[in-house]
Amino acid sequence: MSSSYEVDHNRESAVVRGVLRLESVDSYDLVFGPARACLALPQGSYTLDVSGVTLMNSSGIRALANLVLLAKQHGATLIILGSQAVAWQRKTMASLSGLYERAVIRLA
Amino acid sequence: MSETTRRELSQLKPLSTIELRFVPLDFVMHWHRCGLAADYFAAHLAYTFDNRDAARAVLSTVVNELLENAVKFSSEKSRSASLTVNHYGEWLAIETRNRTDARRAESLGALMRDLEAQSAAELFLARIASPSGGESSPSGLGLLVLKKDYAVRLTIECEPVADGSFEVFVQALLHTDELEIR
Repeated sequence: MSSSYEVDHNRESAVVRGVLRLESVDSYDLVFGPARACLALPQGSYTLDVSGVTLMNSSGIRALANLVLLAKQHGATLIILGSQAVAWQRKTMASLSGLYERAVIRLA
Repeated sequence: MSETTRRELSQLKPLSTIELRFVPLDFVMHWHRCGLAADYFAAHLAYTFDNRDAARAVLSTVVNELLENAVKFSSEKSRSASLTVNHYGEWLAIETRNRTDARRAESLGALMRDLEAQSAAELFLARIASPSGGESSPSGLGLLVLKKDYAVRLTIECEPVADGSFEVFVQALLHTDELEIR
């Protein structure tokens, strides 16, 4: 459970699974780099499915928030898919939606 | 509530204690070990809970956050630090002790002062609304998350020591009833 993850991504979406406890916010570029590239485009749209991420540290929360702020900066749309069954998603990730009206967080 | 509880608990002998004494450098070199240690503590502590998975997820999150902070913000990576969990029956006290520099000590002091004026939820939103991300940025975001989302009672003490650094004590107090429903 300590830190092991996999990412499947294409130009406009990604699915991340596992445990994300990377050592710094910058380290999350490995995971969210493609999302950042897409969200930096005007009117970009990106869907990020993290429902399979069971644990995430605070650097990851910061990195997710930075994605939302990047989307806001460029007027892009960011959809984050999560799970009600995962504590950090239900408790912490859900509150990121307040940062930007076009950051949609859907918890199934 | 937190201060009262903490004072009362300090008079008690814990039912059990587990402690890890470590050199932060070991974790800096192999960051994955933070999660490994957190998972071990969490699995050990959650073993007696009815809802073991829920308790383990919360405990792993709390232990990992405190351990990562102690490693990341230790000013001398070769000086010994510690992670201790004292079990008091209804309460679990998760504690770290390490040395840090004046910048980190000041940011922790500011965090505690801010928490007297604002709720953890308000502070979380305020701090997360500003882009940051320097890898050692001491925003206190993780500690705010523990307080906001995991009902952690937080105590932070920074004592200056002779060489100009600070001895930091961080305690996250969790009520066992709240662990199983999360």
